[in-house]
Formats: sequence, C-alpha cells, structure tokens
Amino acid sequence: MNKILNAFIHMSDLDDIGTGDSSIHRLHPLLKIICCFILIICIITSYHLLELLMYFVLCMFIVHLSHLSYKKVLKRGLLGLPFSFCLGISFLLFHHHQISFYGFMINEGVLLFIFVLLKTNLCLMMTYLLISTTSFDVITSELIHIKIPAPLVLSITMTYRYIFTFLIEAKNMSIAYSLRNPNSQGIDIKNMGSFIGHLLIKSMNESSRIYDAMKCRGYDITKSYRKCEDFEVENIFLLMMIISFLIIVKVIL
Amino acid sequence: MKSNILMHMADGLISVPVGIVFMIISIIGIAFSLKKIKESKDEKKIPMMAVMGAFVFVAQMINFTIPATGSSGHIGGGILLCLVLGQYPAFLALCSVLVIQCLFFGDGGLLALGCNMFNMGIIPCFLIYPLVVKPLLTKKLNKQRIILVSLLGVVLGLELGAFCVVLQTLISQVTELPFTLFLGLMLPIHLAIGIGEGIVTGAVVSYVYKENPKMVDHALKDQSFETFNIKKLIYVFLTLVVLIGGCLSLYASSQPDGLEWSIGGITGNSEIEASGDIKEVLSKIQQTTSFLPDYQFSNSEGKLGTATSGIVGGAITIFVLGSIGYIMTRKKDE
Repeated sequence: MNKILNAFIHMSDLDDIGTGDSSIHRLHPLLKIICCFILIICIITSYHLLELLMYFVLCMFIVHLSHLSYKKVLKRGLLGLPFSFCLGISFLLFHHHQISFYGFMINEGVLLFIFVLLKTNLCLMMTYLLISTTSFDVITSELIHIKIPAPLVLSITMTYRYIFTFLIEAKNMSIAYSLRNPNSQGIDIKNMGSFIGHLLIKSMNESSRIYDAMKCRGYDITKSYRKCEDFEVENIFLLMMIISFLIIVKVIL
Repeated sequence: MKSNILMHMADGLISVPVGIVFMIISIIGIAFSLKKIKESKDEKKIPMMAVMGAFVFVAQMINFTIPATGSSGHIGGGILLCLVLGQYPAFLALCSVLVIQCLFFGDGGLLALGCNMFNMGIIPCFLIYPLVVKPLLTKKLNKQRIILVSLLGVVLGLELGAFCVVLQTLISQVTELPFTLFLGLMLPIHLAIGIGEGIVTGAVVSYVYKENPKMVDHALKDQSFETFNIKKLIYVFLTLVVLIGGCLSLYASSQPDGLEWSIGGITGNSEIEASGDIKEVLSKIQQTTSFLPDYQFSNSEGKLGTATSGIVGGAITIFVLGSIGYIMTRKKDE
C-alpha cells in the first residue's frame, strides 16, 4: 500500500511543483511546449553521441534553472528503460557489423541499442521537465489555444486525471484488502487477477461518473480553458534563439 | 568547380597593413555602436535587429543578373538596416553578418574583413545615412520619398564603397589592377547594382513603413521601439529568411558579381591569389572555421548545401545578434 500512497503523493507533487516559481516556471507555457516538442524531435533524429551529450547538458541546465532535484529528474528518465530495452534488443539481434566509433571498433547493434536507451531517457526527462515546470491545466489551455483538436486534448486531460481516480481506487481497495486480511504482506498473487480486474472496473465507473457530473454542470473543454497569456515579442525572440541554437548544434555536431 | 555565391573582397586584393588599418577603424565603429546600443536600453529592438540581420544575410545570397554585362550583384543591406533599425544597430547587424560569412562560410578574406566592414558598413551607416538619407527623410516622410531616397542612398553608398575598394587596392599596391582601369569598371557596374539594390531597399522599407509608419520614423530619430507591436513584422521577416535562405538562394545568378567581374575584365581571372606568410596563416584559420565553405558542404556541391547554408547562416545570425543585443540591453537588477 505504501507504493500506491507514494505514487499518489508523487502525482499530487507534480501538480504542485508545476506551479512553482523559477525562471523556467515563469516562461510562457506555449514557448515551453514548442521547445519541448522541437527538442524531442532533435533528440529522436540525432545519431551523434556529442549531440546527445549536448542535449543532456541542456536538460541539466534547465533542471538547475527550475530548481528541481537532479536525482528525481534522472530517475524519472529511467522509467522508460524496460520499454526501450525491449525495443532496442532487436538491434542487438539483427545488426552485427563492426563500425568505427570515434576511433573504437564497436558492434553496430550495440551502438544502436545504446542510442535507443539514451534517446528514450532524454525524451522522458524533457517531458518530465515540461510537466514539472508547467501546471497541467495551463498546458491544456495552450493546446486548446493553438487549435489542437478538442477530442485529442480532452483524451489527454482525462487520461491524466484518470490516474488520480485510479490511484484513489487502488488505495481504497488496498485498505479494504488489508483490513480483511490483517496478517497478509501485500496482495497475494492468487487474488491479484480479481484485484486488478475490480480495480479497472471500479476506476472506470468512477471516472465515468465524474465525467458525467462534469458534463451535467456544462463542462466543455473549449470553453473551460479559454484564459491564455499573449505570446509576446520576448517569447518570439526566445523561441527564435532556441531554434537557432538547435539548428547550429544539429549542423555543427 | 568554384561556387559563384562568394561576394566579398578576398585577401589577395589588399596588403597586410591596409587590412590591419581598416580592421582597427571597423573595430572602433563596432565599439561605438555597442556603446550607443547599451545606452539606449531598447530591448524591443533586439528581436528586430536579429531578424533583420538574418534577412540581410540570406538576401545577400541572392545575386541578381545585371543585363547585358555578364555580371551580377547582390544587396549590401546597409541603408536598408539603417532605415529599419537606426544606424548603430544597423552597423552592428551588418558587421555580424560579414563576420559570420567570413568565418563560417569562407566568404571574403579574414584580412579583408575590416575593409569589407568599412566599405559595406561604415560608408552607408556612418556617412551616407546621416549625411544624405536622414536629412532628406526627416523633412518629410512618405512612401514615394522613401523609395527615391533609398535609391539615392544605396547608389551613393555603393559607388563610394566601390571607390574605396579601388583605393584600398591602390594603397596596397596591387599591380595587377591599374587604378583608372579598375575604377572605370567598378563604378559603372556598381551603379547598375546600386539601382537594383535601391529598388529592393525601397520596396522593403516601404512595406515596413506601410505596416508600422512610426517604426521608420523612430529609427530615423534613433528612438525606442518600446511602444510598438512588431510581432507581425518579425513573423514576416522570419518567413522570408526561411524562404529566401532555403529556396530562393538556389536560383541566385551564377554570373560573377560586380567586383569579380571588374577584376576579371582586367586580369582575365575573377580572383587574385593571396600570397605571403600572414595571408597563408589567416587562410588556414579560415579553412578551419568554415564548416560550410563557399555556402556548400565540404567537398561537395549541390542545392542542398546552398539551402542548408542559407538556413544555418540565418540561424547563426539570429543567435549571435540576439545574444549580443540581449547582453547589451540587459537591465541589471536594482
């Protein structure tokens, strides 16, 4: 149950740190969204270790400016490790050529595998930085403002909010389970199937009830998130500078 | 095969002392402009300065054919920048463009950089603009006057610049280029180029005037841009930078430019080889720093190289000018 509680606390934390006060928090949200998107594209399309290192340094610089914990950001980046490991393993199986990498002979598959791990890690860190320096509601407002289709934004918002409902249900069920089985150490594996099934159904019902209640009270995503800051010249200037910097990095490195 | 996009004076045209003297004069001009920009504390001008610098960079890549001569020309951009930004930011933007072209694209010699900054920057920004353009436009400002005065200013600036190039080669004792003959070719061809550039300058400044009349007025009076909404202009010029740098630069004329044409008319070759230890060292430095030499990828020529050079050059100009401007106008916390 501690794990569920921790997860819940972490999700609430994320909402709180998103409203913090640092030079990165104070930047225009649209600027942060665009920069995050461009940076992810740059990371995905990069095949140079030096370039990836540059993005990592940039990432750490943003962490420093936004007064976040380095350890936490690095840890969040590692969350995708199992997925990237599964994806990258095919490179190990199908690429066996030896290539020269900065003067060292290395297996092409191993190199590509390392690149997949690094890129996934960097992309996740960038995304974590975006959501931990911008509150989710503000991101939603900006997405609506730049005319991203409402159903798409709605599904992103609902997915994010569903996590809270899911965790609350998991916490309640876990308490109920431990009260019925006071001597048990966590949930027994034989009960796990029905526990997860119930959890899914209960959380879906709860989410649907919440959504219905929202609709009954006139919820419309395009109207609820209308308040947006103007994208001033300073922001255009900053965006120009960042894009120029990334173009230079891409071409030179 | 050598690309014909190169535009500025090479080291072979001048001697080392002449290069050093003009470099010192240009550095004094840069220092003075930086001081003036710092005093103005006009943060709003910085994005415009960066974008206009990038615009001039890519616009200089477009060589237009001069009919019936076998030559081509490109804009200098001095008067254009002065009319949009004011003389000090304009000079700084132009110098940044020339330094970037020299260091990263191998355009114009490193020794001749001072001469290029003098001929293309100091003459239009510190001579023609304050003595001719500014007085004529301060009296009365309208679209017709902007076009006519731009034309006059650009032609005078280019003619005087061409004259200075000839003088610099004369002082440098470049015996391959006899003074009268070189002058006789340089002045007429630059008159034709000046008319072309004048029309382009007039059109661009007229557009800016139509969009934001106060901006040209404030630039003329060296006043702040703080109260303007320059968002639209920034978007327009940014789009132009991408379009010109990435697409139009591919269709630039392949004819030799005015300077190369004049040299070719005398020597039969569009370039004069640089010789001497110092020039060789400078040339090696330039080869090391030029990552897109002749606006192409190293050891290969093609349209992709030119388009990349246009976009990357624009990006570097924005980054360099933006950084300089930001550092200069930054207000310290009180």
